[in-house]
Amino acid sequence: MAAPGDREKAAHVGRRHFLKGAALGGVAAAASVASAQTEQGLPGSASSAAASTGGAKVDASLPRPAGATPRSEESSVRDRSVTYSSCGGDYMVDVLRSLGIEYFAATPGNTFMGIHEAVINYGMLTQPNLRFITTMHEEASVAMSHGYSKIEGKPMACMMHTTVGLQHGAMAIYNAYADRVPIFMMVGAWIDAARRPNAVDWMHAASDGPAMVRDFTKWDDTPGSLRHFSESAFRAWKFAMTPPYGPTLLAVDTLMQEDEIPGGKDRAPPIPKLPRISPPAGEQGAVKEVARLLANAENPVIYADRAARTPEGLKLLVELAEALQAPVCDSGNRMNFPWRHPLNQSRRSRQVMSDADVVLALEPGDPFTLFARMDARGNTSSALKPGARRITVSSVELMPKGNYQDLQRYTSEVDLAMEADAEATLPMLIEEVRRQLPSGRKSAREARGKAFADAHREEFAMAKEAAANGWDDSPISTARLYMELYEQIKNEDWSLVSPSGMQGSWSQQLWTADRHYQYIGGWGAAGIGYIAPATLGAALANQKYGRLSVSFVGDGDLMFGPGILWTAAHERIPLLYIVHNNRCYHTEIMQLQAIANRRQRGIDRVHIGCAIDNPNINYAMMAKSLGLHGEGPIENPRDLGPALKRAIATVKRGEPALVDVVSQGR
Amino acid sequence: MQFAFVPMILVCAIATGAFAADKPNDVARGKQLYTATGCDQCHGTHGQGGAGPRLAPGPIPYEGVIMQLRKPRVRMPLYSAVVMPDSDVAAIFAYLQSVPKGKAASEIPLLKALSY
Ligand code: HEC
Ligand SMILES: Cc1ncc(C[n+]2csc(CCOP(=O)(O)OP(=O)(O)O)c2C)c(N)n1
Ligand SMILES: [Mg+2]
Repeated sequence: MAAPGDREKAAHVGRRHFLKGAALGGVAAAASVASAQTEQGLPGSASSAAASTGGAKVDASLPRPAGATPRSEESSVRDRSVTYSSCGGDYMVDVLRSLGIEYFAATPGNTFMGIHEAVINYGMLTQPNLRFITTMHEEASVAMSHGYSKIEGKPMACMMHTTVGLQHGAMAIYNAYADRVPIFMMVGAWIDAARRPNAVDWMHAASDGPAMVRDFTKWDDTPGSLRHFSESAFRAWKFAMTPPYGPTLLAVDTLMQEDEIPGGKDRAPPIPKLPRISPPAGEQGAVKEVARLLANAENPVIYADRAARTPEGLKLLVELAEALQAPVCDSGNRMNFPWRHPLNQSRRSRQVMSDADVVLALEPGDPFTLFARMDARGNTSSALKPGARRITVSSVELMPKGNYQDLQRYTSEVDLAMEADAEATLPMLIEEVRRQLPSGRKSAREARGKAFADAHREEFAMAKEAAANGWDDSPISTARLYMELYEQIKNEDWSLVSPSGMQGSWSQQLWTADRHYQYIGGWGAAGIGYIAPATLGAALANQKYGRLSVSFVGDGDLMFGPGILWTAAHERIPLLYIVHNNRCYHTEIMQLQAIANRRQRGIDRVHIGCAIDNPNINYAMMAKSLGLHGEGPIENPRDLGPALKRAIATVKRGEPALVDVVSQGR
Repeated sequence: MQFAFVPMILVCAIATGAFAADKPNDVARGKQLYTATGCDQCHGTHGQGGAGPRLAPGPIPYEGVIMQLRKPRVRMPLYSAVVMPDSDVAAIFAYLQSVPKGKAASEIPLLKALSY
């Protein structure tokens, strides 16, 4: 490697050489543009004034005069013999840093070499550090960003190769979109076709690349200059971070990344100032009315879906529930409410809903699920008692989109739809509720709270008994799996970064959790392949806080993109992966059984297309080959505790580990 | 979950069908059928519960079991008499009845110690 001094000299000499060429080229270009304009009478040129005063007539069919700038002189960037010392890529790195972006995940591609090189040789070597994270699939880059955002509360960056990379990333973008998560994405763009050097560059070019994911991104742009880049990077960040959160995308011209900064490094465009964002809160009159309904209700119920965007949201929800002594049903898409809070009635939501006279649904993706039911024949009925009042607070309704149908399955009757961000509305609502709570009903509220506390305790006792069922079974029961892990981590600062629904939600039933990062929900759009990479992104965010990240990953999910394990090892991201190895796409096999039986053909062939066996995959061996600590396959439940202990010791040393557990279906 | 063995188990099940009246054989046959017809996918290897509720030990009465198979509530697959004759249901029921009582939570240190 050349010493910095040498490099500097080479750059200097090279630059002089380049400038000479550019200056000559520039003069020639200026001359030819002027002559072309003169001929055509283009506005803005000297001749347009002449044309308006009756200048010479132009014969457009005449051949252009010789002397146009040759291609070779239009730009130097693709001429590998020419060196230069400033580049758009470095400026872009500075813009990303100014947005507070710390990581940049990508699978490389030559449409963004200009930024790639700037990140590794400038961003990673200067402060504030911008670190390149190497992935093995664009879906992994996006999903990592998805998980990262949910822990860190702000985006990292990911970048994809044009057409081909973005197509790979699309599924993960849709998950993030449906999960209302801010993602800052970039994609390379070979805009100037006249400068695309080879056939593959044409294959990798699109006139409007972002179009293919526009249905499930919040906003995109294709900047035409460096100034436009920085302004739109700020727009992208701001729009991603304004509720409803969502992914945004910049298509960044390949040559703009590679070219010199016009005028040189010291004349780079300014970097805009990032605003603090104030999300839309509910309108005061409506908030007062909702407070009145809740304060005077006999059985108010709070339902929280993607309500707690930040740690503050969790605290606010506890305040509201406690003021009202109202039960909270948490969808599990976020850590909305402490799992062992006496008012947490998530496991009893059907019962609680059917008793409700006022329901406040915060950021509900699908109010129908709460307020109504559909029987096997498609008949719908109300899930609430007659006269019950239904209130929704939803920021997503401020930004509906047409094509993908991830929102509001069926309309259900809602009395008041507050189009606002739930978390931002809560402080005002809490204050109003406190003001309006009838003092005479204090003892009734306390009695209500006590009944819920009893019900929660009873649920907990029942869950313990249910967990005891099949305790010593092999394949290992999911309850045992969760309890053996909990035993090892309960005194640590743990963060369960995977969703628990595919394993019976034992964490919510039996563990104690009250911090926002202890649970972050799941996919968003139920797109499989999320868990392995997204949980690694979450672990990356947890790393600097020294938290112990754990992730249950389905065998099917992991095999969508096992390359992520290599990324975990290569980037030394501490995460404990536990493979819920039921040796099948279990969710699907259950559905296939139902269909086969309806057709009265029996279910003895449903393993075809659903089983992941014959051969069985040895995940521990796979993990080891990719550089991780690997344990398993664990078949005897007695071996599980010791294996987890060894793996956790590795994770606490700052390395990833994987434990393969041959488990029950769910 | 060794799907590769499923057809073999089915063959066994058919071969032993003649002994349906025999109680101990019913239990053995029922155990095989329980897996071969996929009850285990949703109710766990020994009926302990999973995506579907716990079935054993102490199953609900036979009438309840056959009713659920013939006219299942929403989320469970239908098992008509064509794919599962009454005698098979009886065998599965015999198996479910035979599942021994497992440990209570209070006998499992990890669960016993658990509180909040
Ligand atoms: C695809 C999953 C699935 C399969 C396969 C399945 N079940 Fe079920 N089963 C369920 C679900 C889910 C329920 C609960 C009913 C509901 O809520 O829809 C249930 C309920 C039951 C019940 C009623 C339990 C109670 O306490 O009320 C019985 C009995 C039962 N199943 C027996 C069986 C038997 C026997 C088999 C195999 C022949 C079987 N099931 C196969 C999912 C399944
Ligand atoms: C991208 C995508 N492809 C297919 C599916 C259908 N699907 C839903 S669940 C599932 C099985 C996932 O397997 P695994 O991760 O092992 O979880 P399990 O169901 O076995 O618990 C599949 C294939 C999906 N949701 N998303
Ligand atoms: Mg699986």
